[in-house]
Amino acid sequence: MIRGGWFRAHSGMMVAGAVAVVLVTGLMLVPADASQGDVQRLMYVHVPAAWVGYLAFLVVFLASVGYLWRRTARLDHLAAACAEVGVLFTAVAIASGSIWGKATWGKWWDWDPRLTTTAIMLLAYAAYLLLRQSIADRRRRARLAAVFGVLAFVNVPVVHFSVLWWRSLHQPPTILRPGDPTIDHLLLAQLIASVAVFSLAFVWLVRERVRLERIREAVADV
Amino acid sequence: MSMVREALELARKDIVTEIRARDALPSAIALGATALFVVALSIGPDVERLRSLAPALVGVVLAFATITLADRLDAVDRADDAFVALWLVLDDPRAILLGRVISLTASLFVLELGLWVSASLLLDVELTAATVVLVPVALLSSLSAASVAALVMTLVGTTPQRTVLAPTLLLPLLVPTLLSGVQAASAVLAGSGPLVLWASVSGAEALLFVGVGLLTYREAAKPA
Repeated sequence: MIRGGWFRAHSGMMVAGAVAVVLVTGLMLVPADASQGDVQRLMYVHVPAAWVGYLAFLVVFLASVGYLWRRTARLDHLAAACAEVGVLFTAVAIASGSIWGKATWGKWWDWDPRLTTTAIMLLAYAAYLLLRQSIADRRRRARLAAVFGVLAFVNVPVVHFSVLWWRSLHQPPTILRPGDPTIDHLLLAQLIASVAVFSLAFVWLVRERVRLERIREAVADV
Repeated sequence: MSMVREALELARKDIVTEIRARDALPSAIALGATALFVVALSIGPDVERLRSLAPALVGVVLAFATITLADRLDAVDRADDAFVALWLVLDDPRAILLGRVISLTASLFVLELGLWVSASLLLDVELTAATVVLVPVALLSSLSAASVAALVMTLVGTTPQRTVLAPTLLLPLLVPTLLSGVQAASAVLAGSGPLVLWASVSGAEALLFVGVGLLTYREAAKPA
């Protein structure tokens, strides 16, 4: 019997169902964009995945600072879980952006500042995971990973400001900008729904990953 | 205050060791020269193109030299348990990090100046009175690279996979340093551009990394 009852036992299915619903509505049901056509539908995956990536790396940073301050193993588990999920979602954002780029710019990859800095950010957090993997001692691993978790965050503002520092092919903000969003209201509603559901999936994945880590450590202690 | 004094003493020890042993810097110079020739050869003999790429070439070579130099300094301190002795003897162990940042900055600064002289000889970069601003720009980018490299070496110094982990961890973190250094140097050579902005970014990174380093060093370096 899983502790936490019916809701916990079925939360994964509910989250998967919500993801399926926003994917079906985004990729099939909402109207196509007037200028970009069907390829714009990829934004319902790309934008939420990129958002979750940013969010995950912000939590890695906060949890790392928290760990160095409070020495709570739970914060170390949270940082590790968020780094894994962040790497996954950032990879999805890059892959979906690449497919969109092929359809729109005619090439899979462009040395655009936003793309390149995002790829470097992904590599920094992949390095974070490698660092964790290379240290067997639990406390030492948590300490060193927390320091690197703080350092790695330095790339996140670089990604954000890259479109301002260099001329970029990447689309400028369409929602978080002064004045009205430059996107149709129905498409905007779909985008917001996708971001909300992906965020929910992020929370679920992190919660499960933290739980798994706790179980793993409990087994190791036996 | 005692931490700064101890850091200066440790930096002096590193620099004197380097002058006497001539170990790390000659290796870094050899690596830099090889990289400069190999990259220039692979780009081709177009002098205009090479000249325009010179700041990036110097930046990339410096990034790789940073790994070599930082690794060497760390290895010297860890040999024969010297690091543990330092940790026990010093009033404030953070002096180890600060000292390493100072000595690494000095080595990288010398190397970067040498790279710019090489770039003027090999890549036809004109070094005039106006380009003397490259000296403080080089000092800032050296300080910035040294501050992050010293801390990363502290993290990976005792891991079995240090030779793989050091560049894997360090290179992504060196990106802001590399960018600001290259952009600032490009602005100096072009005689226009946001030099102050990029130099400020370099300075801010150095401050950030030294600050984070001092705050976290005890945790990162505590001997097992």
